[in-house]
Amino acid sequence: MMEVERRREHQMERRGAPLLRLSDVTIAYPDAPKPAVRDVSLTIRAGETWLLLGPSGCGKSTLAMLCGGLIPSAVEARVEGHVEKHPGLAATGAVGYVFQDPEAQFCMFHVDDEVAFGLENQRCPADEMPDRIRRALAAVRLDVPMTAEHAVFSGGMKQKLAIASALVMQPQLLIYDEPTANLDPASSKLVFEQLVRLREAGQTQLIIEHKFMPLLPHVDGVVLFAADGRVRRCGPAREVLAAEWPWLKEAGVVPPWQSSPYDAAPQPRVSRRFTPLCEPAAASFAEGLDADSPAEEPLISGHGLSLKYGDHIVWRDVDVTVPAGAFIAIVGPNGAGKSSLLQVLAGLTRPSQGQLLWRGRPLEQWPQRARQSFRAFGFQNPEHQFIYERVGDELANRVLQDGVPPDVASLLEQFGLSGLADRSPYALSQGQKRRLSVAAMIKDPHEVYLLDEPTFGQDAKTQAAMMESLKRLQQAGKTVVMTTHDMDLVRAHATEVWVMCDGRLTFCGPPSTLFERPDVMAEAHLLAEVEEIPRTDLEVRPVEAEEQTPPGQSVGPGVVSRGVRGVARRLNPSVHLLAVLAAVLLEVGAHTLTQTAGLFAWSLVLLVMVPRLGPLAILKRLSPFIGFYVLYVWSFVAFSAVPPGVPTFHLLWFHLSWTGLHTGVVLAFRMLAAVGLGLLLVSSTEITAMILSLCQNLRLAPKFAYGLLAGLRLAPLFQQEWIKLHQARQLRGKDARWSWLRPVTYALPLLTQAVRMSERIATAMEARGFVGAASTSVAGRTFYRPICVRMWDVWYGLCVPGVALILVLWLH
Amino acid sequence: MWKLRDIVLAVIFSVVCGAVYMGWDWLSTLTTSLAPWVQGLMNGVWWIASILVAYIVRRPGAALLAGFASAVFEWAFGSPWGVNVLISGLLQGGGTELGLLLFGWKRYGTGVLMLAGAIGGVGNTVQWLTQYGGASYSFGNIVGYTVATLLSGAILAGLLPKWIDDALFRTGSLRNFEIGKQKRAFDQ
Repeated sequence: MMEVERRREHQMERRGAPLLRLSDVTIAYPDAPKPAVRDVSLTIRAGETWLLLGPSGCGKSTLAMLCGGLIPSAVEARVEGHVEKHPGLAATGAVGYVFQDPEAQFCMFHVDDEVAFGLENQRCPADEMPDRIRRALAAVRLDVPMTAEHAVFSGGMKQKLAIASALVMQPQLLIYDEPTANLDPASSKLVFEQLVRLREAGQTQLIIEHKFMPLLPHVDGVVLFAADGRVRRCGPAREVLAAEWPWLKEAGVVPPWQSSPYDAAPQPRVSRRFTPLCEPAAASFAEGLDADSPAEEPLISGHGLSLKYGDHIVWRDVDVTVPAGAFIAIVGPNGAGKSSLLQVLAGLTRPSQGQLLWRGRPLEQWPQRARQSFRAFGFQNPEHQFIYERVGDELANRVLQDGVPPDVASLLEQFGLSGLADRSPYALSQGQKRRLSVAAMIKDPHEVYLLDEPTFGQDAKTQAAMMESLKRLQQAGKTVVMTTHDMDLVRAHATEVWVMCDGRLTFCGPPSTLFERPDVMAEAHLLAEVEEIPRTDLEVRPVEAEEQTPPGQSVGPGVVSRGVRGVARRLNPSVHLLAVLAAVLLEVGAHTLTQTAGLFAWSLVLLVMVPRLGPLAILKRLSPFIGFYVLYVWSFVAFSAVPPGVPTFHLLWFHLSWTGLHTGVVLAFRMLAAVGLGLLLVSSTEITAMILSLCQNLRLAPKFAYGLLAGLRLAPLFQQEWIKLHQARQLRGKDARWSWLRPVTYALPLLTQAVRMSERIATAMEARGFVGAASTSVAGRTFYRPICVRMWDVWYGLCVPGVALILVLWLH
Repeated sequence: MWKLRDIVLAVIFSVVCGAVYMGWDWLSTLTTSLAPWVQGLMNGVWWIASILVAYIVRRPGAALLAGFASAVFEWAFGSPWGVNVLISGLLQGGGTELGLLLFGWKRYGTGVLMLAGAIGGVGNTVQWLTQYGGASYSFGNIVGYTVATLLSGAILAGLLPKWIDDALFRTGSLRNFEIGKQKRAFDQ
């Protein structure tokens, strides 16, 4: 109960007091022809939970950003009308924000640093932080070590961490913008349960959510937006939904097959009958084979397939058959390997083991061109598919010189994209992008269509239109394989469903059989949102005594850099950086072979002493540079100016000389010494500690320091982007012929993604109170990891360049 | 005033450029062994980040920051030039920044960007002469290297990043950055 009490204590307003009052508010973005939100009036009282509903692009997020104070400060927009906010909402961290994309709302590497970020912005004293962080993590039931790196978390865990990061600031108002859009049903349920718990604890909340049905009993009110940004109806959930259900279907807010929760007729419930486990996969294979004529070759079949990344086994022993004319849905929890299985089937990723056959022939025997006409593949993010700068080119699969040909024009028409032929594909709305990618996929006939979460992030209307297109393909005798989280789609469209879970294929058969297997469903996180969320106990698990160690102590006393060996981890990173730079500058003064060789030896000594690298490790890391310096020395041998009288050798157009060789070797040693010192710095410091130290000790403005960390955290994502882009181009036979040309052709999509990510991440950081003094001055914030300069830092900082100086002078 | 999103963008772009520089470092050893002026022609790529970022965020210091940050990442990815690339980053980014400063950070036309890119090349040449032993080359080689470097700076580090940014602008993702604001103001 501690968490709850504490919250109440800090709650400045009693339940029921108005927190926010909007009257006739209109919000317009700078270059948009029409306002995003029009004439909205709304009052949110403390302790209330509101749900914002409406078709996509109706201004829900815009209104939420206004309530959260991101508009007009972080996101520029013109606001008209009257906004009355409780003064308590103006404080740093008074509004917590949880965004849709778990990747784009973190700015640190470790769990504790991440949660602490908001507290630092609030200037919370450092000694209170560990306790509050632990409590926030306990409140969202995220049971991980404080120093864990969250990059490896599943989507659900990341969203819990995001909620904890918002919750730790004890916000007056918590806003969620589609928090479960990237999550599997079970993870979504975890998030929903969290929202319900917080509501019961008296938290004021504003929720935007597509899959809102299970939340309805737990909200105080619903604001329903029309497509033009006006409020269509506002009030208690029952009242709004009962009156507007037909309109909700028509506008595509709910799928057409969904019946209103407030209708008299009860919803068909999932059968709770438990059937004993009897090797479902094998059984259903037999069924599948019986149904087909045995003579017909399966379209795709795989036997004993396994996939490994390094030592990590993604899945193994998968046997699958894709019969012609099937509509197969692959389901399973986040991170179970659904997408990678789809990629293996499509021949985009090579399985680590097993054989993949297309029409009974091994994939290797299929020429590239035949592969392209055999299968089409749709990426989860439609942007990965785009390789041209205009919509028309994209559909024609070539650069259109003179106008739009008739076949492309009719496709544009058919997919509701007419008039957009000259636009950039990236500038389309989410729904338009998806329609374009599907249109490009089905333009040329293929045998099998493989789609990775085609309905991801789409409103019900786009979803329905797309499923319709896929259904038509299947009716025309084609085959469709798709991954999805949406069990309603599986029920409505699939002829066969595969369940991926725990690195195996755990079920394979018709959907009706799967829905009778709650055991398989539960294991694969598929049971979930359709069910009612139980009233949860508010008990927060007591924090155990052994967890009570302060953060520094969990990694050892005095440790500055985590994950580093030897004395290196206790060194101040800024001092280390300056010492290395000073030594490198001194090296410029070294001109003889003995001097430079001596300096190189000094860097080797430091590498052994400070981060405790063994000789082999050092050799391994320096080896790539040796080849480089051989060529480097050559260029001096060949091009040096030679004093008169010194013999040179003529070879082709080169004039080789001993003088040049000597100069080259001296310079090569000087550079090797610099490389050694660089290696010393890299192996001695943790990147987070380095940047925090630059901020605290060298007074780098927090905005730059934390901006740097946030940018660095995104860097690994680019590797994944790169792979996706490479695959998409291979699929369409448009990859650069030479691999070194790829950076040129990938630049645009990669950088577009980079721009978008940097915008999102910056907004998320500002939403956590990283504004004003907290972002501009070191004095304006507190630090969870205080980094100071100690005596030994000073000695070390003098020693590294000092010895270098002595060597330069002594070996002269 | 720098906005947080400008900074994050500058960092991410610098990471991408740092990776490109790293590849270029290894590639360039082959050209260096052909002739110095061939190397000069390739040099411009090494300060591409400066205009790439400065043209989007349009703030004083953007070119220098991006030049230096991309050098830091280049070094961290394992550049054969070691810590020396940080000095390169400062000199080349500083040169480009100087070019933009000449016009008070107000003009970002093709000519201005090409000039800035070329001045970045001056920074490169200075380091080559002093630190990398360029001065010990014969006179003809030094002139060839310098001219080729300035030319390469103007084209590869001035024109090319402008072209990339303009393509990026057409995708609509730069609307909320300074480049979008200034282009809108220009259109009205």
